[in-house]
Amino acid sequence: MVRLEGVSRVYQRGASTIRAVQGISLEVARGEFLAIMGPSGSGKSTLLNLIGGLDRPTDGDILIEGRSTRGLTEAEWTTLRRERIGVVFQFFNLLPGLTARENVALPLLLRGDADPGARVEDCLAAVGLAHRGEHRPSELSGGEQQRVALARALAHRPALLLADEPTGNLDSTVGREIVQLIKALARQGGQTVVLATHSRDAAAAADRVLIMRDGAVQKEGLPS
Amino acid sequence: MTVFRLLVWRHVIGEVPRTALTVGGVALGVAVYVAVATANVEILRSFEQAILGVAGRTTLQVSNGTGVAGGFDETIIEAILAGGGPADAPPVPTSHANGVLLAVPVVEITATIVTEGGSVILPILGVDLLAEADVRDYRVTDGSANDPDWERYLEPDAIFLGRRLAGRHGFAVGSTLEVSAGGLSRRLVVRGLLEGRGAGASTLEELAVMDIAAAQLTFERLGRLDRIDLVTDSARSVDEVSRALQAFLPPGLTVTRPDQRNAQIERMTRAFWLNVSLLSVVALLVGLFLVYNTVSFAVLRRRREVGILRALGLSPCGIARLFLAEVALIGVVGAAAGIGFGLALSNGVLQTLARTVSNLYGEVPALPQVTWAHPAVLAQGLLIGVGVAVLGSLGPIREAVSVEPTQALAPKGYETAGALRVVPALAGAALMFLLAALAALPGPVQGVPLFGYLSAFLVVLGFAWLSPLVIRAAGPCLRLLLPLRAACLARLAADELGRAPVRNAVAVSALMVGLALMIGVSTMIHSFRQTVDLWLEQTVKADLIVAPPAWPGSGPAGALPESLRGRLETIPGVTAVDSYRDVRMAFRDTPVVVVARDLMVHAKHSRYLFVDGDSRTVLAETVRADGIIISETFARQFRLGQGDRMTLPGPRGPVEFLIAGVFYDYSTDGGKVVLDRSLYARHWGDRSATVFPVYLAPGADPEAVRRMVPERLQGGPPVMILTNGDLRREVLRIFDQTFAITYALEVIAVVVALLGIANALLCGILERRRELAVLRAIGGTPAQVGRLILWESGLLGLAGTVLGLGAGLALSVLLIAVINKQSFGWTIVLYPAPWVWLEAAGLALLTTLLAGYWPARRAMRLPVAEGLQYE
Repeated sequence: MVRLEGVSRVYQRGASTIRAVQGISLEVARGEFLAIMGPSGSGKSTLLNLIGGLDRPTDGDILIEGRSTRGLTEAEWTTLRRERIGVVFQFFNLLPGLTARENVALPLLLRGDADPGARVEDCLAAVGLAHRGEHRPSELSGGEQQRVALARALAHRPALLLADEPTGNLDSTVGREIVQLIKALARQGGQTVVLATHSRDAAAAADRVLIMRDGAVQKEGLPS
Repeated sequence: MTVFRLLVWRHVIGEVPRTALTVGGVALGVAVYVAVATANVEILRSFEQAILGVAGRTTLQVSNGTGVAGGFDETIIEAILAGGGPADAPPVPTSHANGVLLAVPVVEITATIVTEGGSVILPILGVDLLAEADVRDYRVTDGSANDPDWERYLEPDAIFLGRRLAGRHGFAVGSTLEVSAGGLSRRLVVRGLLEGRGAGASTLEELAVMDIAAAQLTFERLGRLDRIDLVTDSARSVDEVSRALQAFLPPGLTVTRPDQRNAQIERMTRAFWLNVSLLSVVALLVGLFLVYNTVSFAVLRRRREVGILRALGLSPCGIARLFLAEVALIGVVGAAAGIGFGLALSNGVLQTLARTVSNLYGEVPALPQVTWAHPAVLAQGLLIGVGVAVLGSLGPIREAVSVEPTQALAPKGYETAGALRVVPALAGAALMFLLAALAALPGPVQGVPLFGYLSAFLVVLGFAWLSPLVIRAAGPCLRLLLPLRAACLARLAADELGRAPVRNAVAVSALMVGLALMIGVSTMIHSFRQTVDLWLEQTVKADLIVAPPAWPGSGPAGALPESLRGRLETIPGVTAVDSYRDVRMAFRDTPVVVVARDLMVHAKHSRYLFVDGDSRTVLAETVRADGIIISETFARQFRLGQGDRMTLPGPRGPVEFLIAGVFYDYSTDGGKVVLDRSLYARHWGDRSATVFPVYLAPGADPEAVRRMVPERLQGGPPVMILTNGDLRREVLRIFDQTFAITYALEVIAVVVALLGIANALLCGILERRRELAVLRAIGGTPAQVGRLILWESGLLGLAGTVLGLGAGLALSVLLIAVINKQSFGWTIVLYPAPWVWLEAAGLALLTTLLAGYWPARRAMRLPVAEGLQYE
């Protein structure tokens, strides 16, 4: 589903050079749940951004569903995200002015779906929030907000779900629930999941774990 | 490494576009102020120079206080030099006993000459050339190295032109000038050029001078003078000499100091300047909003930084000082840029205002040029720039220092302050409107509508108070009107604006002020123009006007002889000819226009619109009672009315008249007095006419009669013939020119407001980087992000437009019914101008979209990954 070939990302900050990701090569199979662990600054989020096309590698190539993304234009990346990729963030990043239902509908509306109603209801029901659709983010708990964010990420039936520290802002119980929900929904929808996390609990739900340090893969294996 | 560089400078240069917008807003406000203030100073200085420069060493002037052309008997000069007492009184034995060292006779001729650019007014000074060196500091040169040829200089056709004046019109020594004055046409030869010296050099080089004897002979003014310039003994008080002289001068002659005329002009133009200056202040007000906006954002964005600094031990005062240093820096840079820009603008503003002053007050100073920056104006510009910046920042800074460190350090959204409370906002707006209504009631303070301005300010404040409510209403309104799927971006934009109604209200208020000013002033001008047009239609009935060339700028001396009237009356198709004479006289030390005309002819063929009474009846009563009628502006200015009595300065002393009526008049700001021609001739002995209004018989062809006029007046002075339509067009042209400057100021206010919108959007984008990045991450295209910002811009524009329309209409009523009436005394009927409103609203919406273009482009280019970073 996703293959990285010698991917690097180097930032220039004034006189200093920051090597956020250094020559990573890896492959994530269709339907696999991969967890990336590592301390702050190890390059987890950068790697997820690169896979999602939110940032561009300075070297190497990323292949999604066998297709090279090297040289994709901004518009092509946007189309790819709209069709094939869903994203969940640590701080939920729901639009505060919209209700839960509207937040879930947003990616569908942005790609021009005329009537996203039924799909939105399905997604809200899947995350157990069918009854909270008219509530705004400020009226929901952290766990509920992350469920809405998950429903939003899955609304357009992506092939790949990227989750960047989705439990980082939640207590451990709710965090575990969210990871289990991600796993269950991904299994159900046949989605590939790449999850960046600090939490061993969260990583335990994955099929495989990658440990990063200083922008490189330090260790790879099964979850403990 | 200083605290300033670490904590202030870093922010100023860290976000250059936003800093530049704020500096630009302050600069534009200061520039308008400096340009208008410089123009004000320069025009008054040019008046002063024109009066004092020509006056030279003159300390007192004896003149005909009645303002009537024809002057006074020149023999009075002997009495003055004799030391007191009229000519037939016993002479005072001691020479210069009254303190007069020198008495120089002057004749003033207002002539017209024809140049390549058309008819030009040429004021000629007839002076004693041989005595000039003692009074005015200039040298006559004929361009050769020879000694002055006095014999030729004193010939009746010799004229001397100031070097600048001659250069402007392409005249040189030896050029001939075809000159018309007082109904006479003469050919004069330029015998020399005047080179000015000293402080008044430039003014002196704008003069046209003849020897007094030549001027009297050439223009048939033998034995008559217009003025006597006196140089008094410096050892004696000028006022004391003035009083002594006034005591023995015959009635009708007055002694004044040359600078008194200047004070009169200052008094006369005060209301006009105040209005223009206040318009320029509006640009500053909008600049104030802009600073408020920027600092509010800075405070919000640096919330955490403030918390950290507080936690590190910086006191609230220290935090305030940091922000104040930043805004002071913005103020100083903005003021410096504004002063430079203002001085660059000032010449254009100066020319426009000089023309307006000439149109309004009938004064024609030599068109001034900005030659130097007045230090007081520069200091004011700097103070205003810094003052506006500091004042605009006080609210947000207070908020910054009042936040507790723990609160500031807590992770929150960028918009946490300024929550909207609906009831207090509504109550505040209602209170402002109530106070505005109350402030509209009192009269002017020393002729200045101070309470009227206060009322306008309160109206604007009331609408500003409403703006957060309007912004917050936009979301629910769109929610009702449009389903999310139909206008997803519009809804998102409205929700985004509604999240920060107070913050966005500042940008909306800035636009509202600019638009309200535009709509208020445009409606006032439109109503004024319609009123004047209607007034012209109802009161200017003459089919043709026979006038001297360059009328109406030719002044009292640009007169035509009475004999022309009879010749005009003999033209077939002419049913009546009025002879209209206008002169300026001083009434209560203020120059007013006095018009003498054949009131019975006017009553029969035309009319005045009287405040009370029918035109024919009031005019007949005026003639019967040897009374006068006064304009509404005159009545208001001097608190006089029908049935009151007033005096005018006559050649034989003050003449008292009964006021028989008050009429509406829009031809002059200073007020007008009208009396019958025979009554005027009886008291002032002046039988000439300024123009002849000609009435045609029904069915007569105006063009045919117009063609016959030159033929019938052959051999007489040159004239121009205007049709009724020509005259009305000319009046309306002058009207439009007069108000040109207000449009320029409105445009500047709107531009500053647009900077405010752009600034607000730009700040919003910087603060919402993550939100916009999320939008991109979930599938939004850069174009959709750009459109979202444009929707926000458009919605801000819409809110500003809705409020601006309301405030503009309220302002127009205040301008018409209170401010204008109290400033100038004109009654203006309010004429709605829906297309003006639509045009202004359309323009505001269009330009706010333009203002959103740059921020939208910036938002489209924001790096998504950076936007998603948490720290």
